[in-house]
Amino acid sequence: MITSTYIEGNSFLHKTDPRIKIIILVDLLVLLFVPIAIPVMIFIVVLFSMITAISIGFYRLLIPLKMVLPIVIFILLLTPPFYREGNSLFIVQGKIILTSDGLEQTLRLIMRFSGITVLFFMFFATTTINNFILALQWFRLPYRTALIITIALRYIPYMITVYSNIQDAHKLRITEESGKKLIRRFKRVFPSLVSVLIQSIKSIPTLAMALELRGIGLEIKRTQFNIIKFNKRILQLSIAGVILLMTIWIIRFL
Amino acid sequence: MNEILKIKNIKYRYPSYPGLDFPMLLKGINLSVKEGEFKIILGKPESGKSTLIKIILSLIPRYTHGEISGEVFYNGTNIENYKPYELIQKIGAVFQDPDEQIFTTSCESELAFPLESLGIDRKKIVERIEFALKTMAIGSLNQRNPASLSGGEKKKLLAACLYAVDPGIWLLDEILDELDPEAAEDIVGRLLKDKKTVILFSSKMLSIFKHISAHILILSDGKIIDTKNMDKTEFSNLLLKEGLAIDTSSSWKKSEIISDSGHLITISDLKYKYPLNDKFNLEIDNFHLGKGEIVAIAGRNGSGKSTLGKLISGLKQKEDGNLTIEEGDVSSCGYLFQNPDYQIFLPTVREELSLGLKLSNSVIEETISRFSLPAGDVPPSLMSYGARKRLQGAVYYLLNRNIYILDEADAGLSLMDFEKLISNLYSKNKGIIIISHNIDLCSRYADRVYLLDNGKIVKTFKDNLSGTLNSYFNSGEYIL
Repeated sequence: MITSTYIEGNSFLHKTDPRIKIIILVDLLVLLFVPIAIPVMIFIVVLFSMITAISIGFYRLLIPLKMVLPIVIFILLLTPPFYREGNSLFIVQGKIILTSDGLEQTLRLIMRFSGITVLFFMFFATTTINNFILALQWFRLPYRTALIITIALRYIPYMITVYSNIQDAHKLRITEESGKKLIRRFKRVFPSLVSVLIQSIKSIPTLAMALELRGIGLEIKRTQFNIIKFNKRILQLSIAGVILLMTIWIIRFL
Repeated sequence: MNEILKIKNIKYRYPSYPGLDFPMLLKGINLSVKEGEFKIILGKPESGKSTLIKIILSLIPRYTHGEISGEVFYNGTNIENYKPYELIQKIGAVFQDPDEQIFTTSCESELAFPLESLGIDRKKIVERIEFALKTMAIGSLNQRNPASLSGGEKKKLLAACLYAVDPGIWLLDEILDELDPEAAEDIVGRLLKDKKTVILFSSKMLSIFKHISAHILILSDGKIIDTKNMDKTEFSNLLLKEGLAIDTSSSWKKSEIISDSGHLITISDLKYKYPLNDKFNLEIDNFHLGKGEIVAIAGRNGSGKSTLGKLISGLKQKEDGNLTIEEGDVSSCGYLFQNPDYQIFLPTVREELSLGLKLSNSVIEETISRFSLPAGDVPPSLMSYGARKRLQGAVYYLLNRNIYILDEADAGLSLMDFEKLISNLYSKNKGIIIISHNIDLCSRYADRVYLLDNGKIVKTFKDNLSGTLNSYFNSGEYIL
């Protein structure tokens, strides 16, 4: 299981200490979940999308955004009917379709969802698994816990890669009939997902074997080849991040 | 010399499932390996080589149940007393599929991982990594992500991992399969020189084995046959009987029905560039495949062979140039992926064969028998790798495509099974493209060989393929 979301590069984000990236990631995720103004949310999402695009390329940023597009469309369609408060913004034949409250909640959910996607993608595309483990260990997580977290997170890109390979294979086996393309594509999803499931289940003992053959399980105290040193700036940034979050939170209630 | 490994009467049968009864795979394996010995175990796919490795590593029955009996001793101690992770300094292995083993995201970290588990001091880890990288001549790859390496490079990386850990016994499963001849000679020569205790498993009698001093054993019908006291003829006959070698004295006969009656594929000035890789461009000036013709695309790993195959089959879109497919479009291409599991996804063999086709029972049964598949009701996911490869071939046989592209299809198949696959597909009078880096394979089956290097066709061979290919590669002008 050698799939990972890491994209080799030499950008500012690649060079940033993984611990700082974890702190920023957590801070921003919290920020997206506290009730801040919509323009601030949009600003955060756009700003970090731009930083990610500059660091790893616009084309690459489109990949995760394309994947969450169906969910964004669902939010867009299903959220407004549940919020009837506020001014009516869009009325069809006397029926209110969209209110100001509905628009705000829809935008909030879309920004929250796409923001989480961009932030996680930014983090995993510019941080190697090794550095992620080291950073988690710096935050006092035991090695095995850090390893399990990274393995769990690697399963997502692994399954995406397997799904894309299987889809390619299906394209070659099943010839599309014009006019029925969409229906056939939809029908093809189920067997593809079954294949992904089988492949993923099969990979579990394989991965466990690989880890045991690399000595995971030994009771010897593990040494480290890659090291990240203690840095005062990390501590300062951690404190600054917490203060910033608390400030935003308090301002909201003033 | 001390006896380092002793295998006593190992018998093993995989667990059975409804509709799928596995016969006894290993029927009493006895083997004694002394320190510093180099043994080669030849066995056709599904003969139990990888299973035997997993038993020696104590992974079976820990991860796969089934009926097992017999004992394995490492330096006199039964391996039942060890967990796999307790064996890493005693027995090391390189698996047939390197992706099953590689775990980290940089070559350097991959080498460091087991050393960290062993609690080795960082300074020593650095020294051992440097030594391993230098020994396997992969120093330039140390910062690379293993996912971006070619199959051969991944195997070199795993061999380097063994050099870093330096276990007592090295189990190497098909390690030479994806390596160019020069790298294969380097690795084998190095292991012999360093007097490592090695058991090398292979499904083909490679020419390199003829030139080294190693003890060759054959795994046949669940037992080990010692070839030490066999004369040359007896040995050759056994290899042929087991499908481990091909009778080179008899050429492979193609039907002479169609030849040079128009091109199925014509390519000129084809250009392709990976969207996110500026270092590689594919530029094919001239390529064609005639009806009833077999052409091979050969070249190093990463030379663009599969990319060209995917462009022809429509899996990738060309950037510029002409790619014309006569009598149909890209959907008339059948591309057999290297990994059969990406093309097999239904619950039973029968459903798999009949997907999208209206086939009578007799056609399905005939295909099952033609490709030596277990039975129609068997779930493909429970079949062996070789059987899944044959099922993949059977699926495409029934699909009746005009062009077949076989991407490293010999991996996981015996030479006889590969020849059967080619014969079955060719019997439909189609055009076939073989993608391979195996010179013997290319020269035996192809009418023409295109040699690719760095995305370009650097040479085309047509006449007397066996002679010209061998003299070209032996001249050192190009190392495949």
